[in-house]
Amino acid sequence: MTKKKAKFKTIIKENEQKILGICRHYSSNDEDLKDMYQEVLINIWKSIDSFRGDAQLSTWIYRVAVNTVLGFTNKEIRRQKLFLNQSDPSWQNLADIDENTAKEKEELFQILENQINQLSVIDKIIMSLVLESVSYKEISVVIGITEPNLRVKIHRIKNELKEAIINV
Amino acid sequence: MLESTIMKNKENAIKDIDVLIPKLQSKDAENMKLTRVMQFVFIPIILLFAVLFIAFPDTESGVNLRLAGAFCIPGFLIFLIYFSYYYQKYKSVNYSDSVKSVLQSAEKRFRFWHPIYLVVFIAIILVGVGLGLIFTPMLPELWSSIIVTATVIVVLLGFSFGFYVGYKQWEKESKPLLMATKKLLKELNESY
Repeated sequence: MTKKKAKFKTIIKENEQKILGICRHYSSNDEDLKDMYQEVLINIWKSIDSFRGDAQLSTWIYRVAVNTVLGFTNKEIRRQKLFLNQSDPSWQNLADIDENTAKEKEELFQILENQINQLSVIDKIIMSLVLESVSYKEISVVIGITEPNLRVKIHRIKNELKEAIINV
Repeated sequence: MLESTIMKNKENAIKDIDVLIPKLQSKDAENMKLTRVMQFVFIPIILLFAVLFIAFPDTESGVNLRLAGAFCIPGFLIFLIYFSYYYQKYKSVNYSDSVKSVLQSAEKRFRFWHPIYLVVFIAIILVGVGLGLIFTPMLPELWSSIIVTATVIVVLLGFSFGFYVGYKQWEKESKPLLMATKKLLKELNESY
């Protein structure tokens, strides 16, 4: 039990930001973030014996975090909202937004956040991992689909987001 | 603002883990307890039946008790195996699997009917027959067939009512989750 405790503490210390990054996208306030973060820790504890080192630790962490988020809101899974962080410029990569785009950044941010929340649950999860700068290869392993399939999905999503920005 | 709050509370987060771990450890122990309780309930019952009804039956009661033991023991064994293994497997979610695997397991879990229920139902029948073989000879001869028939009817009605209530509960709580899970899986399985 002491070995498990030490392993758990090491994993959390080394991967705290990754876990918080995913949880942050699905929390509208500090209270929700704390609850979700704790839920992820609980599930990491429960799953820790299943980590055999055959996958990267970060992939394993992302899987637990994403599966926890999927199960966290239970019946509300369809209505789970993705929150973007305006101060983090990575949101602009979601729709390949040009620095010279005429629309105000604030307006673009609102359009993008609204449009992202029209996406399906799976697409939202994929985009939250893209926002965390997770490689496509790792995202495909986390989700459980092939990398080419993932690239096509992301390409389709980005096109939808671009069109939404142009048409508004 | 959210981010700065998180950064400020980083040390607290690590301290929180030290508070969380004992709770997690006690939860682990609790889950083990259920399996242990079931094992401690069924193992003595199985041994008792084996000794009383198979090894050293009351010779006056003849073959009846041996038959009763032959029905009850397999029934209790099935319950023991079910609670020791399948219950834990069925209830637990492996969060470290890929999202697709977790959804596939969830889809199986949220179904109304599981083949293992048939085995548990057979176990209930076996135990019922065994107990019937034990208690029926004790009933007054005139009333035995009436009482047995009435008991069987009551038990069947009870099972039917339980089945109906279980189905309604599943329809209200698990079916929406099953449909949502199937929809997500369909989306994941789309290839381009």
